[in-house]
Amino acid sequence: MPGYLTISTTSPPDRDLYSVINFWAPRVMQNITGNFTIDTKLVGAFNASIQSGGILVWQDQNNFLRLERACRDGYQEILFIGTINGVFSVLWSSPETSNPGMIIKVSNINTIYLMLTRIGMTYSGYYSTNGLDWDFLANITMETPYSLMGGLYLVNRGPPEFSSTASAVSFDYFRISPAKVLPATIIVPDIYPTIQAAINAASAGDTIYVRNGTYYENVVVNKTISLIGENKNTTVVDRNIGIVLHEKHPMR
Amino acid sequence: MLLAPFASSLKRGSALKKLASCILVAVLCVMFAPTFNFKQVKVGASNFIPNDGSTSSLPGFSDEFNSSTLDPRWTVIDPGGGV
Repeated sequence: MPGYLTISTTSPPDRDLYSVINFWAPRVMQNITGNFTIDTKLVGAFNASIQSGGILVWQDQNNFLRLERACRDGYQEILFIGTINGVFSVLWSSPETSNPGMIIKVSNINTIYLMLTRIGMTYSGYYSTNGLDWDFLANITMETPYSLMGGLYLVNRGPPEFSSTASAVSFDYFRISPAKVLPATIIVPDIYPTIQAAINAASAGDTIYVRNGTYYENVVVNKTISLIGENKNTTVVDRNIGIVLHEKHPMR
Repeated sequence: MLLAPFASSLKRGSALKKLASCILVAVLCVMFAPTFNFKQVKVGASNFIPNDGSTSSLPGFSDEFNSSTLDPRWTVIDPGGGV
């Protein structure tokens, strides 16, 4: 029988997992060893800043990763963030200005899927709207031991910086499976605002799908990828150099 | 020399008492170990509640959140607090 786990907080919350300042977010964790893939289905949206929930990979207070659905300044987004060696960093976000397509996509749905993989010291974040087709977000290298913790959490900030409301998030499942490398599809500008940024983030075998529009940039392809435009007449790279294709890296 | 067997007996008796104490403590620990019943877990100001809802899992996935008892692999962390 299907079910789901709901994590909720009452007001005033101020529950976060942020840098080395606030570790009061409620969470459920379990030990994970070696390489792995974690994926979950998150149901429901947040309605106040800063509220979020998702997958947590935890070594200690100075080293952890968060892959989450979040609400910030009134809009919905996907975030892949972490604290590495005590320094907070944004690995990937869908800011309102540079990724309007992503904002719209996430805002209009109630359910999203998140996936985080570990292969060696490399962690990769993915998200999906149907649990089958995964969009790659970012890689990050983090020096971590063989064994660490992984789980689910809810963040809900409160006064004095943010509004104080109760919050909840539901997870339909939590699955740990052997690590796998997904042939990712990176959508421009939804995931990355420029073609070059997408190429830089891509791994060999990935597909970069470029939506209609004119992209004012020089593009250098230095790895084996598929670069596909939405429409050959309306997807345009407008620069003097155009696309530079390195040998030994065939492009479809 | 005459006292030696008596002393040995004393040691055995002491060991048996210790063993009995250990067993009693172990039994008590099992009896009062925190059982995380997901349907009732409330730590600090947070709730962890599983529901037998109608949401669907992907085909072939086992869903562990429909259990009324938290799998022992899980650790609930809720530091509470707030500023």
